[in-house]
Amino acid sequence: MAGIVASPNPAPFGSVFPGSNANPFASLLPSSFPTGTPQHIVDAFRYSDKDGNGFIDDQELKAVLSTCNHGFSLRTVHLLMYSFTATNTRLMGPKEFTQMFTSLQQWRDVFEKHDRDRNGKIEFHELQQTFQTLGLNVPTAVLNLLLLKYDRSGKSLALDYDKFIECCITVKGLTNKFKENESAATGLATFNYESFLLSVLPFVVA
Amino acid sequence: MATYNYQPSAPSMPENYAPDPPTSLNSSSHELYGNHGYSQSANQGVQSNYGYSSSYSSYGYPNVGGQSGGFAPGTHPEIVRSFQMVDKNRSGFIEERELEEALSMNYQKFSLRTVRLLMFLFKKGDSLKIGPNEFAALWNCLGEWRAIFERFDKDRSGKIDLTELRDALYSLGYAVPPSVLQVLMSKYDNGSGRRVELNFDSFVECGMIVKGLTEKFKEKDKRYTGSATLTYDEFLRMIIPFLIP
Repeated sequence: MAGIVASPNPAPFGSVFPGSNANPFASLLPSSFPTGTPQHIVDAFRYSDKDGNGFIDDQELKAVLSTCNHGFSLRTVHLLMYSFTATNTRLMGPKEFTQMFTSLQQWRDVFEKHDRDRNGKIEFHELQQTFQTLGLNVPTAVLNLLLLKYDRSGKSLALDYDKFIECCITVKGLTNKFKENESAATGLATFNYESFLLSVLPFVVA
Repeated sequence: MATYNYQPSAPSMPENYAPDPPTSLNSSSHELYGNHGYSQSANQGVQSNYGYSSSYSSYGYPNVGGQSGGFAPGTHPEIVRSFQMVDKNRSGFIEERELEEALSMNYQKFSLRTVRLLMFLFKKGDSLKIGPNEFAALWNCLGEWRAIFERFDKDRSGKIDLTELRDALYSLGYAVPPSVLQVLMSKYDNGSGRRVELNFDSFVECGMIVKGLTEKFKEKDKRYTGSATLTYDEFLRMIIPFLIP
């Protein structure tokens, strides 16, 4: 991800992070950098953790993502945090951060591949192809609904990087929720009232 | 933070409504007309009804009749007034910015997100605007929410906590599981470690989300089994309209 600045002060020996690369027990600890995490991700984490408490909160994540030449909305940040921590607590440890960082790099590649005219936006008609690249088969009726949500003016709108991420996380996340409740035989999903609300609310309240 | 005004400014439920004598209605209407420069014919139409005080509907609202501009007879004049005040081009429809204006004149400043949610829940079909009767329904609904908010804000703090929210939703017929309430409230948690509480705007937003999603769920569970079976397409289409930026 372009723009992440490496920490100017390399961590002293005896890092505060129990799961630094050298720790063979990293995979057993609740949230630590997996073995072999690239140094630039570790540095990015430290750079983002402004209050140094070992966790990244939503404001810290928003600040660091926004410095990479795109203003990220708090809503997109919340969606990111939810998808990588599966909680609504809006705190991210090293392990989740690493997974998110890697995903963002993949999304970035997809975005750039589909932004053919390099204007920093994906046109709406390219969105269906983009979803397919991400393994999502989004029905046209749903794409039209998404269009209605983002394009209030009626003029054809394109998604910038922030909105693109928001859109991807939402569609991918809801699709996963559906699949969790899907019967392989029918392709239909059954929810009770509580499981329905619990599945969809995190995306509504982000 | 705006001072919290406990005087309900939306009309309360019809059974609680005590019809004001024509004189007090006149004085408030003079104030408003003076400030907002109504067209002469609209003024005359409404004022003459107040003067005669003969045609009252069963709820005690003066009958606004032909000057109502699309409102059902018996619509409270304050609702008509609020609508007409923001429908400056007299199109008979208002869109979200105008709704936001109408709401902030009579309540507090609502967040655009809550305004959009209200718009979404009360509009008909794919339109991006609402007409007089949708507006009236929205207004009455807000009045109900206001009354409920006040009833359940037992310590008069101007805010509602998780327990009070649960009770308030229950009184409306929504038995919301605690796990769901936790997720709802997490949206308003600013991370300070203090107990999460909702102001009226957030309370309306929460309530509307629960109401909206529950109604959608019930549409798919017509036999009230507590379970709904959905196709992928149905599932996404139910939810995406609620993902309002």
